[in-house]
Amino acid sequence: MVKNSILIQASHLSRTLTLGNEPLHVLKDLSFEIRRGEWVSLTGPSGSGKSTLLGLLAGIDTPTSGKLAIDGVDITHMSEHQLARIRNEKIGIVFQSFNLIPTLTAQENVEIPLYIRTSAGDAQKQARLMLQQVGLGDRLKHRPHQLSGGQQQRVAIARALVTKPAVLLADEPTGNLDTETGDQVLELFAELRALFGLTIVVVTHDQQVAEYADRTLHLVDGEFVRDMGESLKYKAGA
Amino acid sequence: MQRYLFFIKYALRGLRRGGQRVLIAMLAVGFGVMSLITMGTIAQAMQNAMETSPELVVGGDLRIAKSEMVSNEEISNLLAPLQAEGLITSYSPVSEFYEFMMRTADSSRIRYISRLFGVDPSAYPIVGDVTIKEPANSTLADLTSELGTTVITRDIADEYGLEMGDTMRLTSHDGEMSLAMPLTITGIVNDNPSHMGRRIYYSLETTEALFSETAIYDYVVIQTDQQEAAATAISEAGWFVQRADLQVLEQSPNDELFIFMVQGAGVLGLLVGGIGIANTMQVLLTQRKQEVGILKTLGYSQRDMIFIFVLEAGLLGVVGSILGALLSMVVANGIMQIFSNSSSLLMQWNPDPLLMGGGILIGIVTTVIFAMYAIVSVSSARPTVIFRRESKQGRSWRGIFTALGFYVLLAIPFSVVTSLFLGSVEKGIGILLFALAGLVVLGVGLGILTWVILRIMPTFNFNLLRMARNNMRKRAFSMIFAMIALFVGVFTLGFAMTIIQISLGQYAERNPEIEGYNLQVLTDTDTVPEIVSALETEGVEAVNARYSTSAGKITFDAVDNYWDNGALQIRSIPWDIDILEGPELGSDIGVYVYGPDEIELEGEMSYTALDGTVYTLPILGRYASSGETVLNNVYQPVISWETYESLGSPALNHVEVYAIADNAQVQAIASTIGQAFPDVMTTNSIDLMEELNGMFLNIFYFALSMSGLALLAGVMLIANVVSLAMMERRYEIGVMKAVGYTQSNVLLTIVLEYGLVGFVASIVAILGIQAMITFITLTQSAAEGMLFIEPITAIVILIIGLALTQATALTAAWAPAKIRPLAILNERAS
Repeated sequence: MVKNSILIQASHLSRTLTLGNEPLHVLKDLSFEIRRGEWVSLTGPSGSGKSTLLGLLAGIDTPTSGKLAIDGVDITHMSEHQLARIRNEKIGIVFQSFNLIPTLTAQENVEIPLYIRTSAGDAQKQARLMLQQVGLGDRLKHRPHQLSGGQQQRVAIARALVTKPAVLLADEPTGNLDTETGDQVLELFAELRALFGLTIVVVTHDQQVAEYADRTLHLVDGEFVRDMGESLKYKAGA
Repeated sequence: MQRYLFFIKYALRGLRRGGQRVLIAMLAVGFGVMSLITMGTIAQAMQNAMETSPELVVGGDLRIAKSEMVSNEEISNLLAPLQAEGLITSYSPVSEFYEFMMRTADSSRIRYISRLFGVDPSAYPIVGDVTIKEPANSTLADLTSELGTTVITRDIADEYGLEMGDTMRLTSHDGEMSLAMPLTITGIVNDNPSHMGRRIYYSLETTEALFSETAIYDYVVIQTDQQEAAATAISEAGWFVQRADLQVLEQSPNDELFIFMVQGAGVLGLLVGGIGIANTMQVLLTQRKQEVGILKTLGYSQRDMIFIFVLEAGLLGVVGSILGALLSMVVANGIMQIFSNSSSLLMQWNPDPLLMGGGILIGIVTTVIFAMYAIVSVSSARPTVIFRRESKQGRSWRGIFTALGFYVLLAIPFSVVTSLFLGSVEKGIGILLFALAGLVVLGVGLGILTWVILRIMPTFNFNLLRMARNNMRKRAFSMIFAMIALFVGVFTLGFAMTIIQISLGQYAERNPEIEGYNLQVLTDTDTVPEIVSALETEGVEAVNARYSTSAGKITFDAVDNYWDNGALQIRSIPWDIDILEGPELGSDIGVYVYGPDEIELEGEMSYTALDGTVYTLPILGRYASSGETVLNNVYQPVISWETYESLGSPALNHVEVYAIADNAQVQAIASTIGQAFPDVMTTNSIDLMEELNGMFLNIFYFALSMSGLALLAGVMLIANVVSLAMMERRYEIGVMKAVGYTQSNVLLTIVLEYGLVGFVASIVAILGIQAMITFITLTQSAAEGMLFIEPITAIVILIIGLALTQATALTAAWAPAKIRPLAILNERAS
């Protein structure tokens, strides 16, 4: 892995949805790069296309046109099955509403992505270690409803990172948390970034959250209106 | 390995979390498997019971008889030399009598026995076996070697509570057999070559003692390797010969059709269970769409999701199928009992491991097949669609055709399953096509009816009703599926209810207020005074008796082939007949003939007594007879005592003493008489009614047990259909509440909509039930007259259909209607 090399490369990326008979251009001809170890914020008003862009980066949606490569692999025309493999091996996702499986314990939730890997190793051990990393070593057997919001988000982060992905994508990760807990989650992102050399892309409309990033991409009506360069709090790869 | 263990654990958790809906799915599987195994067991038992061969029909390689009955001596004279020559291997004389009456030591009540077999137990049967249930490891020869011993088939023993060591007496209406000789039961027959029940076996020695004569053998069954030569030799001696090798046996198409219908009912039960599974899985998996989204986002592919859900469906199928197999043992046992009681077949059934195992396997495969559409459709959802709760607007034709195509594909493995079970590809596919055609016809019918109702339905300026009607117009397609499911549920339940109604009606008809003679005592002439005295002691009035001569030969000048039962009825007064034409009874010597026989009055009747003396009597007049409960119609020629004496007072048959007793006491009086006189038989109106009603009671119990299962299936289908619709409409409910609807407003709209759905489905179900009853009435000659659903039954079916629909709709809508609108709308927005 070469530091500062390009991890995500998008060129002329567009996404058009059809509402009724009318086409809706959600993303318009976007080209950008994200470097390895970089923390990027995607900001913009509601309906600007930031979640759609995150969906494309996550491989859960495909662009209408353009090209998208992650870690040197062109995922634009991949089949659903191939995309699933990419999601499992290269991408970790954290959601605003945590999206944990309610029937499984914290540890089992973290184990899930490991079971479909060809080299799963000792899934239980890896999940336990990951939960210890996020400070939940004493909550392994707890079910989601037995955990606080912050703890649930930590489990979700552990689940996203247990496969050692190339990039961590987060969709409003603090949206369901109070300010203090939200800050703790962002601090954890920073710690893990330092520990694993993570690349992070966070969708947010919260300026305070955006300030944690090295760079902010601001979207309005499906187009970047500015690339704000380095942010104040953390430097890439610091 | 670790991966698959996790998948199993995950699937088990999923099932546990599914709660009552998983239970419903298991019951659906269980219902299907239970139907399949139960009907398979019955079909197997029937097939075994109907299994036959030319040798079994004939009773050996040859069956020989003469026009009159023969003695054992005559048989020996013919066959012993042939056996010595080696022309025949063995033979067994048979004295076979039909429709005899029996009484036990405990009860004088008349019981009817289908056939009596007087046989040589050391040689009988020539083909097949008479297997003994009790005592174990014994043979017919062991048990009937002593004079006065007998063995009875197990159905008689079960029905009348007879055990080894009990005694019984036999006789016939024409008094051929002495009532005085008791027979001791030494064994219970489990099965016989013809698999027919209500049979009694005893030795040749006992036969001759019972009939007090020796020429009582009807035919002889013979085993030989030289059928043609033996048949020729025997024919030359003046005997009729029936050869097994010339018999052509074809299984009756009716039998084959009946077995197919029984098996088909099992497959249709499985199909109903399958629809329940498909529906329940749709509900279960739709609830887990978000979970699918999470897993797919984490990298799980559609294949992984399908694997997990197939595993889940498979586990559900295993538990449900085992449950169904266990239930089938109970249900099959019950149905076989009912079946055995109303049929003369000696049905044999044991849990067949192959059928049980096969049934469980079919149950699992069927669960997966029927769950497959829901599994594939939920697993194929893209995570982005799931997270944004994007729902397709309307229903595209492409989607409908894809779904239909998928079901056609799924029909292939299911046809394989049904073909294997029914033992024929044609039948396997045929039954599916039958079900499919039924669904199409039903769907079209329901669609047309709904369309008409929605067009003409007034709304009375009632806005909620207008909204309900508009909603139904928009959702007509999915509503038709809901109505089909409702129809199936209401139809099965309603049909069972109607059978109960008809059975109860028949039962009531056969229980009229009993008037007139209600007690009959069958005895010999000498005992009559004692019987009359005993009856009078019991406070019984109006005692009369029917006397008759023993059988002779009766002929009329102008009538050819007059019926051959040659007994003459003797009366001093015409107490049980009306003289229609001719002089007063007893005024002249001569005979009165049965009116409907239309025998000319000017002619004469000849009576040939047993000793060969021929008497001729003028025909004096005609009579009419009207039967009552225990007093059968008389139709033999009637003479006075004076005429009887003019015939030389031939031997008399049994005397039938009739009395009118208090209905409440008649059973007790019959019992007292029976205990006091061990060689009389009695019939009373209450016992007779019970006997006649037995069959209807069996149908009633059968209908009752089936209706319980139908109710379960119906409720399950209705609950699923409504729950699924409610899940799809959660968002709509959220919007309604957001614009000011209260929970009551929302629930009222749901009540109105589903009221209409329930109404249409129930009305069509009632029409379907009537169509089914009409079909049965027209095709079954046994059914008397056209049967109709009673209006009250139709109303009850309609109310049940509506109530079930409303109860399940309200239960399913209660929570979404109660929830704060923001919560539902946020789900959509998140």
